[in-house]
Amino acid sequence: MISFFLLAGLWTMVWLLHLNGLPDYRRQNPCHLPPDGRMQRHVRRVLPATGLAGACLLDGLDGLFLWAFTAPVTGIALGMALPFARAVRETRAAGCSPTTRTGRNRQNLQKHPEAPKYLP
Amino acid sequence: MSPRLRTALRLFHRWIGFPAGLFLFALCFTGSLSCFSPEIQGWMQPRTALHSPLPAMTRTGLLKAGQELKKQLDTGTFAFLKLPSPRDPVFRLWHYDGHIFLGPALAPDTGLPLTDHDVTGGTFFVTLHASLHLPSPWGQLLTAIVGIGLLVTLLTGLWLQLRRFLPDLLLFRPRAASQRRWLDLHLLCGTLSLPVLFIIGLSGVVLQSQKLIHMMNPPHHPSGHASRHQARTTMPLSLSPAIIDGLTENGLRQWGTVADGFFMQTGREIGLYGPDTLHFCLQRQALTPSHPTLPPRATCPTVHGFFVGLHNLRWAGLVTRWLYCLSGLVGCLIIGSGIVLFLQSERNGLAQSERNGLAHAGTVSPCRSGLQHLYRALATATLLGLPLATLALFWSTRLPAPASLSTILWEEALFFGLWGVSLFHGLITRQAARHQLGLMAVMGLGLTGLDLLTRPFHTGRPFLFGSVDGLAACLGLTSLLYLRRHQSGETA
Repeated sequence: MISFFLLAGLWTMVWLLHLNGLPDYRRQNPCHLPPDGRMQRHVRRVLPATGLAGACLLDGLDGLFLWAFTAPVTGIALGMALPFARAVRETRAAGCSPTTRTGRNRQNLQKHPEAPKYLP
Repeated sequence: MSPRLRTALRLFHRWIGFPAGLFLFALCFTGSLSCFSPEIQGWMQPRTALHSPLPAMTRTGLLKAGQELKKQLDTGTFAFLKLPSPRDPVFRLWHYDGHIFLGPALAPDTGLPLTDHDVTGGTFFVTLHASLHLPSPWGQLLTAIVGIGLLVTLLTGLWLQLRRFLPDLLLFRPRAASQRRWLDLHLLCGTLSLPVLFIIGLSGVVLQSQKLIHMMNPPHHPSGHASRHQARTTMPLSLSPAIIDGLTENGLRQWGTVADGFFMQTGREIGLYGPDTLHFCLQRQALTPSHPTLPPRATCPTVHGFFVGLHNLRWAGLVTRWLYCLSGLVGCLIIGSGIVLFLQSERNGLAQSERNGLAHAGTVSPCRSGLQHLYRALATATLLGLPLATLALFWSTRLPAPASLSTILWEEALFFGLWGVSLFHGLITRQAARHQLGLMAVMGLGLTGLDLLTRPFHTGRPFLFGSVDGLAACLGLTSLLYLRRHQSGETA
């Protein structure tokens, strides 16, 4: 159980660093991390490997599977929770009712002028 | 990626994914439940978990259970005796009826029977997962084909999403338009759990293919070789207390524990098989009176053992098994959202063709709308009918069965009957999904009440009952919330 909580924290950190490393127009940074730099990229690459090694040392084969299963579970939980958290924060900042749909949440990110064109 | 390749990939992803998804949803759902097969068995037979604290296995209990095993073998039933473990703390004197394992549960301290009737139990979901309860080899064949469908769909989906894989890794917009929301959910879950699902799918396909190959080319036995049944009928089995004691002591010395191991006839004598939880790879080795010790073996002696270990995860700890179960449920979410997207896309295509006047009145449109109706009914039966039938099975194990039917026949008939009715309901009315969601909310939320009413409040395993009741309540609550949201959306 302790390994699970440690790994969940580690993967949450990795996903937050990943989100912080996205381009400015789609960056979701709920923890107000400083802008992405070499250090953050390095930590993002090192953390999963460290977690894997630690989990294997602590729990052996069980730790390996725990490491592999924790990644999608924390990612999905974070991916689903973040938009709701941001919507509540934005509505509070705007002083309107929480049921009001915010413009940012509805925008199509693919149509943003800075978004890369995927189709020729 | 060229537009032509993208169109081809999309076509493959949709038209392999939808038919395979109808079966894959059932496989993922039942696979998730199979992770906790002994616990489900315990929930369905609450009398096996009434004492608190639960008694440990004693020599008296073991000898009495051994006598019961001998009686079963003498009457011609090929039974085996499963030893108590923390996950299932009673003796199980089981035999295989061709679909499920059934037989009495015996107290670990006295060896006396604990329940008065059999239930379908957790092994029902294991069989449903392995062969969809279809006759052999059709069930295995279908499961293998559907598993290949899963791998193809995962690969085409990955290829389609490849360029946006990293930037859109955690993208989910819950307040966007319906189709975008479902697509975000599909991609969020699909991209993050792709490696896990691929390994689960691949190991499942390998295991089913091995079974099919084994069926097509059965192993050749030399002349004079006797099957277990022949061996048993030629010589009476000796099962004295000294043999049971000796095997148990040897087992404890060899493996450190015999919990979750089982006594089964092997050849002309009784054998004690080691627990599956000991090694990653499945190693079915037996200690017998003539071979009281086991020679050292490789950690993973066969490819089959490796894939069984990878797919079943019987050796894993509780948290890992919970996460494995969650991964299966995430698989259900991916497949379910994919089916919803398919239906939305078909509906949009139909509306578009009608707007453009391409559909010839009276010919193309009724045909396409009829097909769309069929797709919707199939999707309803898969996404809602199966969980509904599962809840009904849980309810039926706690309620009295009709006098004219045996309990197992009644429970299985109810499960498959309700699943079939769900499909029929979807075919005759467009409101089927709403009605079934309502029923699921009632049954899911009501299971806790039923559980508390049909067993004493204090049990030896409160976490087990709480977990099953909690999961059912979550299912019911989700159905209720979706129903409310759907209705408020329509009102608006």
